[in-house]
Amino acid sequence: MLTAAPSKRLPPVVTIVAAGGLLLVAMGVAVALGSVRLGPGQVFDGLFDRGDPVARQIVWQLRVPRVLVAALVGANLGLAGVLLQGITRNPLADPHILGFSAGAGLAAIAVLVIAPGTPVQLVAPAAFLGSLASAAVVYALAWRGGISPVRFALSGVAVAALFTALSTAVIATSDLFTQATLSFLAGGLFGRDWSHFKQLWPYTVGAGSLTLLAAGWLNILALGDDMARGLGLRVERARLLLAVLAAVLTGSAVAVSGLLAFIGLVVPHAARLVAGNDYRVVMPLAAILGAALLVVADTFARVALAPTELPVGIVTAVVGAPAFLLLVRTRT
Amino acid sequence: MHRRVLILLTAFALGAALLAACGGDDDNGGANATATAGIGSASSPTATAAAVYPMTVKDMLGKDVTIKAQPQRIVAASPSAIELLYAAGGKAVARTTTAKIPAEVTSLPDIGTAEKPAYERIVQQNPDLVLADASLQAQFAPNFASSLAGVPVLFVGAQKYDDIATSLQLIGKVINNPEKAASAVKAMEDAKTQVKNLVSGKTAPRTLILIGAPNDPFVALTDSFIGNLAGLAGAKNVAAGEPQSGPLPGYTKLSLEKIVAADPEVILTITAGPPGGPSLADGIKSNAAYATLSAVKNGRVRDLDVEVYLQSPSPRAAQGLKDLAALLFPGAGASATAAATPTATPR
Repeated sequence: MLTAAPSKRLPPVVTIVAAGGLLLVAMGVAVALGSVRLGPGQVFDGLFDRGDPVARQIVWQLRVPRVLVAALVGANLGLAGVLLQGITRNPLADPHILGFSAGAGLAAIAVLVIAPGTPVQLVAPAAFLGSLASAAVVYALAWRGGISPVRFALSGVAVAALFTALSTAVIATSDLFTQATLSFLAGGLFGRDWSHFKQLWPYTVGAGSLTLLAAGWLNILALGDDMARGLGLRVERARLLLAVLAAVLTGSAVAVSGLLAFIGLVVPHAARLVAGNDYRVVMPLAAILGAALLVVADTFARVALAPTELPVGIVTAVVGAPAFLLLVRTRT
Repeated sequence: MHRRVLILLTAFALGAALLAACGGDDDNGGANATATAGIGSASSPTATAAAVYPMTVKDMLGKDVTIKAQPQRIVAASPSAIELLYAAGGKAVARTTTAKIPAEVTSLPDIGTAEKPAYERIVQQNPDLVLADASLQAQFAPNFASSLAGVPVLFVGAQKYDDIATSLQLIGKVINNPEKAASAVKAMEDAKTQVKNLVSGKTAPRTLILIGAPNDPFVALTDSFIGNLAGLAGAKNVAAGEPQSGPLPGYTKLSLEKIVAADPEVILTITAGPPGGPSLADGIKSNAAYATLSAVKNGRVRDLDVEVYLQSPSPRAAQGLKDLAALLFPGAGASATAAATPTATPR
């Protein structure tokens, strides 16, 4: 499947630096654009929280935190996608399909329904725990003296279906289904501010760096369990830790953004198409591409019909699908 | 349009749900900080004494809001808020996309929809007071606070008829135009008294209030906005006492069997659908399942204006209340002709 000639590829460092540059440009453009037109000087001053108070407020309190949150959520989902596709050795795995997001969604909805007065800030931790719990369920179901990647993937699909069905049932039978529930299910970054950034970045930095460090394990796991054991890797322990990292990355992202599909599925493939099969390169690249995709999509969602906003989930697919297809056709 | 109405309905749900949450939610800056910073004495919205700034008032979410000086640049963040503001004698510097009453607001800068306001555009207006919608926007309180550091945000709006007068008084007080607000309030009270006199002593018609799309309408209970108005206008709501079910507080689902058993004499409908599309009333009239009902047989199925009775609670509800009474008690007094006014024309 992924057999593009290595000779066509750039050195890993160049690839990652280039992608990082792309992300920075995307974030710069994202901060410069919005439903209010600002001059370059105003935007620049706003980035340092100084200058004209109105522009400063718009740039520093509204645009910068939202762009940063988009980048973190995108990076988390990209990394989680690579982890899950690596663990299951299945190209169609992602946090959405394997039930990690569904667990987060079910937990959030349960909280909103059981305790309708719960502030939105407390829904996030519930979603986070829901993601971890669903990961644990998937893992337990897949365990029979060990985890087989296929069993893990199939358990995940089943759990995803079950939790999605339970969410729908809870909504359908509850006395209250709120705007918050609906917008959580649809996903999006409307109104996200510094409080969300503060909530999310420790997870991205913490779990993200551990994930990058653990990339070597995925390289070994990719050789198959027997070969991995032969090379001295404690396969089950490695797989468990990687699954926990995926759950933490997914849960913290979903808690902030709601359920956003597509990124975790497509970004890992894009990273592999560009960088080959070495997870030590694929991993950071997926984080950067995931961040860039969500930043670009969210900017489009904010600006295209300003002052109205589009749902970012739709834009992600509209922006991401053609880019991905282009990549598939030119690199495979 | 259908989607918008559903959003509005669900937002009503949220408004109720978040009342408690927002009260205890102490975010940095914004409305909360200013609410505690003031030295003015807290007073109820009903006070009409001459304004002394800074003043602290309780808004429709029960939160203390401090206004430092007479507001000069007011942003009204929903169609209902902008109508209330103008009725209380104020002027806005920006409006939401769909706001069109009074007509002069359509030339103001657009800040997006009430469901997803563009905070950037609000900040751009450099407001010294933001009127937010207590029904639609309670969930956005933290966003208003963080994007509008220090600018007071006053939540206004109505879950029932009397809330409109309370909102008018509140706005009149903070913009220092209590006389204009008082006359608007008087119109609300007058309409209520007039209708009360009109319907007193008469037998209340059994009334069913349906809202939504023709294939799957919700039934309004007495504590919804339209349910409250219909009650004031002398209707006997056949769904009174039913438990709420379904997603919307104040609304329920009623089986067709129950509706047939209750045999409503009047059916009022609010259509959630694109303007110009089929009305819920037409759907009911042409539905064989409803054919045996007295209301259908006697031609007393009427479609109501979606803005006045659902989306945008405003001083227009005074006329709306009179129209409802006229619909429910045809031939009872002079205002019977009011049924032909724009607020309750058949669609």
